[in-house]
Amino acid sequence: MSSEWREDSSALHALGLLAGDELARFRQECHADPALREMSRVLREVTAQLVHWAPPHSPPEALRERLVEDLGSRRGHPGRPDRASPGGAPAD
Amino acid sequence: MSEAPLLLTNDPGERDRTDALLLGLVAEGDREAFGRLYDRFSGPLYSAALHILQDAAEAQDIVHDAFITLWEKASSFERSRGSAFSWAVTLVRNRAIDRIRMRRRRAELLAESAPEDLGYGTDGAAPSADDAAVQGDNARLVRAAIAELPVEQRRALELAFFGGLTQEEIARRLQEPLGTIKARIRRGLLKLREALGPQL
Repeated sequence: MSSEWREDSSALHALGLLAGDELARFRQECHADPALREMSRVLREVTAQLVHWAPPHSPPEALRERLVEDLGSRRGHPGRPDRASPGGAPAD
Repeated sequence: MSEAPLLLTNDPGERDRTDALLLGLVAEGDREAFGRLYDRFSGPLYSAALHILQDAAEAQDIVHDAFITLWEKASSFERSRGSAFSWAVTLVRNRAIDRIRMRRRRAELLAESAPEDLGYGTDGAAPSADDAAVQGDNARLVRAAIAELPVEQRRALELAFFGGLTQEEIARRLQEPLGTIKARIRRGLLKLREALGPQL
């Protein structure tokens, strides 16, 4: 397993570009190789930062209101008690 | 919700720790923590979803669904496997890309409906300085690092991250061998790792 394969595969995996046999092999190697897992983790973090490349837009207030409404109709988490007050909503 | 650890900071390590702490509180059903997490993540997540989908209603749906998933699955989060932010980005990006791939399949217009037709432009140019100023320090740092990449690496990363194209589709679009595309993506991400390294 060359260092180029490790870097290529980690980068492609971080972007969701591995599939089929390539993905299966990468997962297998990661399972057995902590250093490869760490490289993969770091490149996933790098990739996540690419969201800041998009032109910035603020979500509309309606989105927060919709989430508040949806959470208000839920009774806590699956298998967990709801420790918030009834109808509680995300805070500002 | 404990206030002490939730400092406003631009220190990336501290930021990730705060996000993880908030997500831990969300796992306990803390809606105030969920609101704090929404305030921290929703801007960049919505911006990315909108950039991918070019449709505000769809972008809102995607971000909504991702936050519901964060609420429901918070207890399964393991910080050792990655940051809360990268998890949230993955949730949004995967959903957005699934949608654009469905659009393409439905229209059978894969080649014609790729990113440059969605208004991304073809030169892979970095965002304007004005745009960058709107974002926080972290976003500015990321944008500056991206701007330093060679244009061919930026273009390959852009098509992969926002366009949802496969390796082969990127190679066809850019009329380059597959190995060249892999190398551009690898070099681009490794350069970004160098530039952003201290915060990862």
